Amino acid sequence: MRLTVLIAWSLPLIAVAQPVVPGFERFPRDNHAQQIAAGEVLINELNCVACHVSAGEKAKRFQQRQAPILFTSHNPAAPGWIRNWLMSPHKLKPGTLMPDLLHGLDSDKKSEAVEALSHYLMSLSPSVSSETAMTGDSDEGKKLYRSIGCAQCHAPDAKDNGRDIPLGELRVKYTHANLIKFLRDPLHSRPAGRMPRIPMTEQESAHLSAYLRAGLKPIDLNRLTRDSAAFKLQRKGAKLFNSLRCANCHQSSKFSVQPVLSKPLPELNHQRGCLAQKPAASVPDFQLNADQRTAITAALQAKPVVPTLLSETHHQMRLLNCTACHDRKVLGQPDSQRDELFLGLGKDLGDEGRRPPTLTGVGAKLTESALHKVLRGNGPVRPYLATRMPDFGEEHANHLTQLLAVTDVRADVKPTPRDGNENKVGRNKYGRELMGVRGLNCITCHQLAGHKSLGIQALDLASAPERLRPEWFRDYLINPASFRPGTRMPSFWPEGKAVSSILGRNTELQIDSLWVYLNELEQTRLPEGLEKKGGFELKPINRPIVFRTFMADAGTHAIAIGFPAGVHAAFDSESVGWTTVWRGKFLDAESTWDDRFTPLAKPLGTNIIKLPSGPAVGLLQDGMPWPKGGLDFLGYRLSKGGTPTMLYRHGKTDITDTLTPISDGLQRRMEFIGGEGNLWVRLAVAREFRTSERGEWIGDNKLTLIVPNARKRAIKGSSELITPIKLKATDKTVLEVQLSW
Amino acid sequence: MVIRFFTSETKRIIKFIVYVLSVSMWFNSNAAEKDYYKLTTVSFPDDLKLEVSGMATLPGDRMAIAIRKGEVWIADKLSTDNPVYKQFASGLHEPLGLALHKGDLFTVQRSELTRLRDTNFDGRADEYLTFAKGWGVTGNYHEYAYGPAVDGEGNLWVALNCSIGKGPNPNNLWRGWSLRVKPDGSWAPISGGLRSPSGIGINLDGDVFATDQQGNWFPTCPLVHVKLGAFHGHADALQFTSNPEATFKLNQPLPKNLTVADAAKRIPAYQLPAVWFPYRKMGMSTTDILADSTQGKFGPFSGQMFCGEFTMSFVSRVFLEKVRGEYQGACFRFRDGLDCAALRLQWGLDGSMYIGQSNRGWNSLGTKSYGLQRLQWTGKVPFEIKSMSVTRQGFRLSFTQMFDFNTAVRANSYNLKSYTYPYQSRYGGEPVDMKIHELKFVKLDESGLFIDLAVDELREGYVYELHAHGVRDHKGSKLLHPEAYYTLNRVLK
Repeated sequence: MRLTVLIAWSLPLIAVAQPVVPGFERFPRDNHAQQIAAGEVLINELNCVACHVSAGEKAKRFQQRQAPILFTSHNPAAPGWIRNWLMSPHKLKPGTLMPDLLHGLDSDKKSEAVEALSHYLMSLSPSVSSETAMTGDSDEGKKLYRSIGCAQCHAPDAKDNGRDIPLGELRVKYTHANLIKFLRDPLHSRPAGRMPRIPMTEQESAHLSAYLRAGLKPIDLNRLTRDSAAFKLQRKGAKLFNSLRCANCHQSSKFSVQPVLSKPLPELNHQRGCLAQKPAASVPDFQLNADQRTAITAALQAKPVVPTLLSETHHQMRLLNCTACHDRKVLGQPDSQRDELFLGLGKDLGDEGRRPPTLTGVGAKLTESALHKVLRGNGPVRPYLATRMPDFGEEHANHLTQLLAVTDVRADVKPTPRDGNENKVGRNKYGRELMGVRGLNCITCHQLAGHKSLGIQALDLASAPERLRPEWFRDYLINPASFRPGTRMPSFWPEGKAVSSILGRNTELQIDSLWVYLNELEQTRLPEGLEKKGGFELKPINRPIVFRTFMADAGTHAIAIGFPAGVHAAFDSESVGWTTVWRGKFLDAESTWDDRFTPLAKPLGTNIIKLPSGPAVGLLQDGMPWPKGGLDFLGYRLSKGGTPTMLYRHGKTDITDTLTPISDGLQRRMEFIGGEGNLWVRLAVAREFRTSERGEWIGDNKLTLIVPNARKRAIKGSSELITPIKLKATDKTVLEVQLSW
Repeated sequence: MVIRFFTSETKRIIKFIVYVLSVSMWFNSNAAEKDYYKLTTVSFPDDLKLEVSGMATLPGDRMAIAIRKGEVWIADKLSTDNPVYKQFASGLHEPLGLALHKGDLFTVQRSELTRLRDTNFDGRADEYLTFAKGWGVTGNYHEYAYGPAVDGEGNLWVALNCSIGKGPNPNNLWRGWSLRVKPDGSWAPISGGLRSPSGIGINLDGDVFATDQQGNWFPTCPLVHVKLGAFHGHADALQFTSNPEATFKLNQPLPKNLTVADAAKRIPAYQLPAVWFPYRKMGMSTTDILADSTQGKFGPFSGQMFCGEFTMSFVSRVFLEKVRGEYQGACFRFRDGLDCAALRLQWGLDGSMYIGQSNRGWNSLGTKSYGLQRLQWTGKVPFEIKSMSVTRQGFRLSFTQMFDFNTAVRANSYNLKSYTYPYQSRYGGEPVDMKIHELKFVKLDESGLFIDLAVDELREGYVYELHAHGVRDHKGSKLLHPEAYYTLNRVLK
């Protein structure tokens, strides 16, 4: 049983040699039409037309797929790598699209051929960079790899598995400096755009490089010999390079070789050549598996039909693996196993805040310039997505933009007619009103021109005019869920009926005025609610203010007390004790009253003194640290004037604790009722206390206390000021302390 | 000439009339609802930010109102045009409920259940007593605490949000659980698996219910029965099931790729909600629960429940029945067109419903960010599906008015479909496994108030969505709301 499992586990690792093409692997092949579509993807990706020209309608379907350029400063060749690579590309990088061209040679001949080719190819390559580069952190690199999008095409654990696009032995191929360069602009050496450019900083690429190169064998920097034999080898290599037709796929600025063509595509024998189960010595070996051969054969045998726009668009999107990250109706959706890799960086935005947006109807949503911009990886509008939209290069951006714009067009939909008067009638005024808190309140959820929204931080609406088609904006607002299933965006015009009475409850005018407002945002005022708010400062004027909140030091059960006299204190009702006293301004309530994400409140004033955290009262044991618990908080009682008295209990002893302002600080009065024996009150902690002539205790934290019976207790390098309370069974014991600072 | 002048003038007049009519149609888009339930906005001072988060009816024409910035106000002369507001308490930490109990107001703050006492009767609380505390509070914004709801035995019920955006946290004990606080202040967890239970309330039989929010583990908003040992679905709560006080254990990992119908069979403690509110059709974020205890003062729905809706600013209605010991039932749209998100519902002494509103943090339909509205029954009975209950063969519908027999018995007066939802950690979820059903007339009673319909298949764990678009009352009028959504957890046996 166990053995079976073991074998099942290792199967994918053994059967990895077929070329990995996501546009093939990740799509269904359940019927003949799907087989044909899958085969067409393979024909394109394996660059069959580089040797076998196609003709007629099919020709439209297959572009050349450019192989990596030989070589650039981003992918220079190292002799150690190139030897290994030519010996067996499928072994060094299982799943590669590079065919084995030397598989027909016996091992001696093969070694000779590899030696010659290596010498020739090295002559084309700039030298491998051994320069120093920014250092990276492999843990950071792993996080980036998993979240920014790498792991949607490559294996999530960065270990080649025969299903995802292989990474290969990166440390054998690239130095750290080269990999950084490569990652920052893969299109430079790989113009096909299948490895798109994910926008990243140099530091981020250094992290990624550190992660991807970790644990692999180092690069072999040994140079080739440079004697006369070497030149001979080089010439021999050049000849081989031509006869093997390497230049049919690979380009370089250093040579100009005309492609040598084989039989045209329509004339191929589907049992032979590259498609044979065991290709003959003279043809490239792609290590195609049976499924791949079936699909290619189906595509080759299919009757030529005029590709529809939709099929052409989807063919193109399969080549670029768009559905690795996006869903698109009819085409496909991301792998559910990888869903957890889509991370949200914002708070409370749901799945819309972590998954890349749907591509269903995207051509009808975005303007052509926006589509082009997005495909070039520019101007991301969803900063809360960890996954980044990459750059597929100019050619794909142009091509796909044209295809999407035409394919997705909604023929029966027209933009709202414009009479040219929208500015004269002051529509942007209404748009502003609709955006604001007295209108539809868009700004509660949506950011606007970089201003934080009032609640969750959803997409910045200022980007709308340059990205969206106005008719899409209109129809989306009327029924958001029909465009984005599952969106939390409500409709403010359900079934086309406006819910706001602004502008005579006219749906068309309302939406148009929002559109005009967004278009003219730069020249107009922000909506009501976004203009500077402020005014949350709490000012105790006639009575003390008692205010519960989340607070630094006082914790999540904080009770802050502000006195009109300008001295203030904070109480932690969880561990039960005063934690902070300060002077001047009291507190800003914005974090409590207005910020959805409730950051901790902090004292607004100055002269902030921290008091010991933990319970104010406890039983004391020699040499033991102050107890952590033991007090129950019971609430507080307000005097006629509003001064709170904290109520708590230790065992059978009820304790009250009151602060009142005095001339230069606070008077603390504590009363103890019930119980017996001794309790201790811990009043202050400092590094050191000294006593003054007047009997004051002065801490090095500038807090001065007058306490009866106080004593110092040294504990763990600091000093606690404590005082004993002798409990009386029937009467109360009172402690009065003065604090000044 | 003269004749021509008059003609064009007449045309203009007709145009004007048409215009006026069409404009008034716009404004009367809820005309029908308005005829039966009148909505008025309660006035309050400009400088009072009345973000209502709790309401408790007081003797006299008074209402205690908690607001989100942490104050409690007493509104006197509430039913008049000019209520008078007086501050009763302040400095509370986002109280999200209010109840009058033992002569004092009780409210749940973020960190504790507090009893507010006015010992010197000056109209201002002078004791803020900690009645129960000790649940986890980490400072996470999402850790709202709701309640209390008071049951007939004097227990106070509290519902706690799960923390969102943080992993397991040692200090967030019982997050996502409901708690029962006994009259002596001791408390214990009752049920777990809540996400953001912004409404907790009690029906006329004394059973406790909570609403929750669509999101992770909740494909759409539910109404759940808060019952000892129930797991409502949100997995974050499971981290506490190994605590000795936990009322259910769930040691196995949650299976994946389930529907909620499957989950009910496969996960032992999982308890289906009594009602699912299908997303958008029945709202996007359900809030407060208010059982109709007005004994008819609020119209024909005595004993049923009303629920607030935040995002879409309306009030919905829920009919519940017990089938084989468990609650299930139907929900209906009731009254649209509020000024703002309905966060809290409360009865006035005269049987009108007060709707407390605030949309801070989340947007809502309507034109205001907070406020208070009053909903009064006009005395006219709307033609509504009063209840939808399950029978052995299908469903029984009861109506508020006598229906027209011809339209009621016709199968094409109805559309019925059923669907269930995915049970998943992903946010929300679309209906799955949808099926359109055949309906057949079985019988009706001669009063014209009940009709029994047979359905070709009853699937447990599915929502049955009915559109009775063709049914007319005896005067030929359509139903005010022809849609009903029945959550069929159990069939009769």
